[in-house]
Formats: sequence, structure tokens, C-alpha cells
Amino acid sequence: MKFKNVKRIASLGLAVIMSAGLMTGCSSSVESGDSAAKTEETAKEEESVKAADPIPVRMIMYGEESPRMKELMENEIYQKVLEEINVELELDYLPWTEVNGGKTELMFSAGEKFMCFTDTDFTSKMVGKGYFADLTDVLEANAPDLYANSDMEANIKQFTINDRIYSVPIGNKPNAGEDYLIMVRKDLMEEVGVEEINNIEDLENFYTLCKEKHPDYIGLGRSLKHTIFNGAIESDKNVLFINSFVFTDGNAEIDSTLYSYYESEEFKQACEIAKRWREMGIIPSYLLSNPQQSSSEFAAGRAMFAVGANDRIFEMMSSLRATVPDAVLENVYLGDISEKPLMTRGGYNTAYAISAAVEDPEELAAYVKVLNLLQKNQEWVDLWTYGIEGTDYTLTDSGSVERICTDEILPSWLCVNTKFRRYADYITEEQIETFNTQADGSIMFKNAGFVFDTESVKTEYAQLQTVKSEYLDPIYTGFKDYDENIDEAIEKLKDAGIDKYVAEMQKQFDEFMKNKAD
Amino acid sequence: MKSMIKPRIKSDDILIGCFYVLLGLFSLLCLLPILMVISGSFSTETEIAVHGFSLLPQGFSLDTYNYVLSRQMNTLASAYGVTIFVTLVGTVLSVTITTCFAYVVSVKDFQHANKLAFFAYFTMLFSGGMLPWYLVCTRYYHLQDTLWGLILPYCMNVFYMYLVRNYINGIPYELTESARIDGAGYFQTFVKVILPLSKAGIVTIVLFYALTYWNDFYLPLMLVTDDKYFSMQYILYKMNANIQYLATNSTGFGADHIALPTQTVKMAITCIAIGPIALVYPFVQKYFVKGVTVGALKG
Repeated sequence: MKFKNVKRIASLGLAVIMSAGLMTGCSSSVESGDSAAKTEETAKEEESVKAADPIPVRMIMYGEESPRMKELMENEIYQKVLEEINVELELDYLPWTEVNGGKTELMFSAGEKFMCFTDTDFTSKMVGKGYFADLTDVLEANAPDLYANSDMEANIKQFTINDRIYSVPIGNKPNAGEDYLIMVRKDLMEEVGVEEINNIEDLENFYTLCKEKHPDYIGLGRSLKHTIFNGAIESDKNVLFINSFVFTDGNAEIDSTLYSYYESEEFKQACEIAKRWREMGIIPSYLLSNPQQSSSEFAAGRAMFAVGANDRIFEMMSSLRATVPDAVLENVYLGDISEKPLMTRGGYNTAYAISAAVEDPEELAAYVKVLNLLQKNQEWVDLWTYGIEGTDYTLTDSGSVERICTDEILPSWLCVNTKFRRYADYITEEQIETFNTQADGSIMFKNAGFVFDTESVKTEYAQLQTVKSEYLDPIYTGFKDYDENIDEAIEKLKDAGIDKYVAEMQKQFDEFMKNKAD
Repeated sequence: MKSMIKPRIKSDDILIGCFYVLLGLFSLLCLLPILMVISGSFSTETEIAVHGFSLLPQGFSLDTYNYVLSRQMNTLASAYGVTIFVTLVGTVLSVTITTCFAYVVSVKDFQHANKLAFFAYFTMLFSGGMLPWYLVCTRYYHLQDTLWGLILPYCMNVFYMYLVRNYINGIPYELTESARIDGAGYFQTFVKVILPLSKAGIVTIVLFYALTYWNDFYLPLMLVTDDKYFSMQYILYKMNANIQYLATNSTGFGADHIALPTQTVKMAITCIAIGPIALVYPFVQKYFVKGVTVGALKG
């Protein structure tokens, strides 16, 4: 009996809820009917108010947001951006592991509205899937300062696919010789009486002398790249890597021939140097198993040199000096620069892509306007790099920066532009001069703008990657002898489909070079 | 009874002694890295850079803790709060849902039991994939940047559900039948008969769920960008992921120029993250052990 009553009450309750639901539904439809009947005038008024509303823009960054940046994004920077371009800027941070894939790709595929870093490979992949917004019609009009303060015409070529622009390159600095130079500890050179390093023998001699004085130091800090041996090996080619498997001759401007790197004489010679370095102790025993340790050694001032780049020494000196206050870095090239000139990918630092979900032209323009602010003028570059003058930093008479707050605002490399660059006090005029002139005579990557579509060889590519890490990396880093192990490794490469892979890339590269010539 | 226990002989004592020594050495080996982490957090950065890690702090200093606590105290405290809340609420909710589902699919005279069981089982065989999962969580359930986003996706683990269902199936049918004869409804049978008798099974999944929620960094990675919802594990994951990426991908995005957190800061954050749990664990470990072993010896 009791149970029956409960049932009745429950049914009554449900009926009441359903009726209430229906009533609510009706009322909302009445309301929507009302709104449909609004006069055209009211709609127009609403539209004009809407146009004045700030547009939300979401920018994804990678790494950690510093407490100071968080504060600035809630107050000063947020307000300044709002006043300048009527945009509500929101910055979200993801771990670095998510760049060019992972959650970033998921967010693109889920149709979220945001912008983030990209590179040429990722751009090609995402444009193929339709995830990047086409910026051709909005870029120039909304980013006048980017065009005025950097070589946009040259830089955007690398992000142009079928004559449409899909990413916005940011920055302006010479990038010649990226990974082809070696940054050497100049202070250690002076300590052991080495004046100059021009070739591999000089470098090895420096290592030997320095090792006598500092037995606990390692030679090569950070990772090894064969690009640094480019000038040292006996080859008539200026090795320009398309990727780790394939290279071309960077000097031969119109020649589209590609070479399989691991099967080449250049690889053999580079491995022989690596092997010698491993035996001498220049390459530490843990380089393969624990590359992080090798990076830490360099940061702690216990390594003599590392793979460098024209611009890299300034940033590295700044972090190195926290441990070794007198550390000085200098870029050296192991070879004759007139025979194998430095090559450059262009003068940008990174590029931003905007999600294709941002469809409204006005909204898309707002995203581009934010990117324009990253290179607008000295004031904005200082704001993004150092924060608020007087609170976060002060300027010395010479124009260099003294940080009051050392928190990172935006990553210091992001907005680097030679027009607005501020050097630390300890950087000498000579170093700045070297930096500005080192890129003189450099040549552009001849593959700039070439994006390899791996779709037809993706299985081969995956297998090649496995063979590379299992069989080739130990030879590459000098841990295994070239002569004893190369045959087996090449056999594995062949089995994995290196010939098909190179042939496919050659086909696409021929077409690219032909179009370029046209 | 007493006479049935064989007295310990000398060889037993030697064997037990050997085990003590071996286990003692093994424990020391396990403790070494933790000791180094603690010692590193109390050392100065320069000493670590010059001499590497050691068992005793070098150049004893509290500067790192001062630095971390003064700058990240709010984030760390909030992350602890989030982790504890998510673990407690998530575990209670998950265990409730899992046991209820398990009971429903184990009721013999419920005609849809098999369909429901298959419905759950199907998700073990075929996953919808990451993108549909993400779309459902973000577009339809709006779980981004909410605490529910850190709880709901893990609310029912089908494997644990089957674990409990099998446990319930092991309870003699006569017990539930007699409860029904005495006038108990399904709910009453569940609460008064099934739950008390399935305690051992439930304790096991409580432990599993609690560990899942405590150790999770995947849901914050996928669904959270607002740092007030960051969990402790996500903060640690982020720190390590950034370091590892930057150490192995030295040329991407100017990654060369990014200053990694210093060694001592890493160690201090690790200590702060594991500290409270390490302190509490000895007092609660007996319950964990009990939870895992209860019911292990039957008959």
C-alpha cells in the first residue's frame, strides 16, 4: 500500500516536471518569435554595438607561464592590447611535448578557435587536412608593421601553398649557419692560449689543451649534428639536409639531385670524425642514452663547445653566465666559408598558424592584428620581451636592459628583430658586428618552401625512422664503427624502403625546382 | 593447536636473516634516489653544477625552497587541493557508479542484464578514438576547465566493474533470495546484503580508483588550461615534459634559448609534491595492505 502511494507521488512529480518543461519550451519559442519580429533598425543597432565589442583571441604558447606573465596578461598587457586593437587576448600554455602534434593537433581537428606556433612541415600537413585558416586576404592589410619591420615577402614563401598563405612568420634576424656553426667557449680558449679555431685540427687541439687543465669537462655539450662537419669533410657538395635521410647540394642552385645521406661518402667521413671524437672523449659516453645530461653540462659551464647558430650565442651566454659569470661564446666554422657558404632558411624566428575554425574575416583580422603587435615597434617588442619599464626592467644609458624581474614574459627569442634588439651589457661591439656580418654572403636554402608530402611513403618513413634510431644513430654519434656496421644498417634501410622513399622525394623535389625556375 | 606449529630451527633463522639483509639492502637502493632528490633540493645550484648530486647537501641552503614557495606557493597549494578533491570525490563517485552497475548486471532475473553488460564490454573492445572522446568532452559536456572534467571521464572503468560483478556473482544466490523473501527490494538487498559481502572487492577498486585519480595527468593535459585546475601530477608532468622535449629537440622554435628550470628547483618541487604523501603513507599503509589482502585467504 505504502509502495503504491510512493508510485503515485512519483508519477505526479514527473507529470509536473514534464508540464513545466513543455511550458518552458513554449515560452522560449514565443520569445524567439518575438525576436524574429524585431525591426530591421533594432537589428542594425545591435550589429553596430556588436562590431564595437572586443573580439576574443586565444593564443597557445608552450612551456610554463611565469607568475609575472600571468599578472601582466590579467592587467597591463591585456589592457594595452584591448586599447590598441580592441581584442581580448587570452594566453594558454601547453607543455612543449604538444607542439606540432598531440593536443595542438587535437584542438585543430576539434575545430577550436586559437593560434599557435607552426613550422613548414606541420603547416603542410595541417593545410592538407584543412585545419589552417587561409590568411592571404587578411594578412597584409592587418599586419603592416610585420611587413615594414621584417622581410615578409621572402619569409611567407615558405608558408605559401598553391599561392595561398597559411602561416605568419614572426621575427627578423640572420639565421645563416644554423647548426653549421660551433659555439666555442672563448674564455676557455684564452685560458689555454688558443687564439683562433678555423678547422677541425684546431678544435681538437683546443680540446686536448683544455682537457689537461679541466679533466672533468666534456668537449661537446648538448647534441651532435653532422652539419657541423660540413666544412671539414672532403666533399664538393655544400650539404643541405632536406631531412635526416636526404640531402642536396646547397651550392648547386638549379640542380635538383637528392642524395641518400646514410649511403653517401659524406656520411662516412662525418662518422669517422664522430668516432674519433668519441674515442678522444670529446663526445661524452652518455650522449646517446642521456642527452639531457650533456645539455646540463653545457649549461653548467662544464663543456667546451656545442652546436651553434649565428644568433644562438647571445641567448646561451645569458643562461651560461648564471653559472660561469665570465663565460664568453664565439661562433666558429670548421672549413672554408668561401667554398661552402653558410645557408639560411630565412630571417624569421617562428611562425603562427590560425585555426580554420576562425572563419569570420573580422575575427581572422583580429588574430593577425595581435601577431602584428609582436613586431609593431620598439615599445611593443620591449613589452613582450621584458615587461613594463620601471617595474620589470630599466634601460641603461647605452640602451641595454637591466632586468628587475627575471621572469619570462614571452620567450625572449620570439620577438627578436635586429631593428629592435637590445643587447646585454657584456656583449661587445665586436660581437655585435660579427653577428651582423656573419650572415653576409650566405645563400638561401634552395629547398625553402619545399614541403615533402609523405602520404604515399608513410609506411616506409615510419620504418626508416625505426632503422635510424636502432642501427644508424649509434654509428652517427661515433659509438659504433662505421666500417663494421654500415653494411647491416644499409641492408635494413633498403628493407625499410629507402629507395622508394628517396625516389618519391626526388619526384616531388624535381617538380618543386621546376616550378621555382618557372 | 600449539603443538601443530613447528618450532623454528636454526636454518629458518638464517634464511629469515638473509631475507632481512637482502630486503634491507633493496630498500636502501630504493631510498637512494629519493635521498639525492632531498639533498639536491637543499644544495646550492653552483655546487650541484660543479660536483653533481650527492647523498648529503652541498653548501646547505634553503634558498631554493624560499624561491619556490614564494613564487609558486599559490599554484602548488591549489594543485594539492585539486588533487585531493578529485581523488576523494572521484573515488567515491566512481566506486558508487561501478558497484551499482555491477550489481544491476549481476541480478539474475533482470532481463536486460546481458545487454547492459555487453554495452559496457563493447567499450573495452572498441574505443571511439581520441578525437570523438575529446569532442564529446569539450563540445557536448563542456568539461574544459572544470573540476568535473578531471572526474567524470574516469567514472566507470569497465574492467573494475567486471571485477566487482564477478565478486558479486560469487555470493551465494540463496542469500539474496532469502532477503527478497523477507521483503527487501533490490536497493535494500544491494545495500544490506551485497555491499557488506563484497567489501573485499570494493576495497580493491577503491584503491585502484584512488591511485588512478591521484596519479592522473592526462585529463588536465587534455581538458584544462586554467592553472587553478592544475593537479599536482600535471605540474610535475609539465615540468618533466618540457625539460625532456627541450633536451632532445634542440633546434625547434628557438628551443635552444629556453632556460630550463634549475636542478635545485626541480628537486624542491619534487620534494614538495611527494612530501605530504610520503609523510602520511606510513600511517595509512596498513589500510592499503589490508585492502589488497582482505579476502585473499578464503575457506
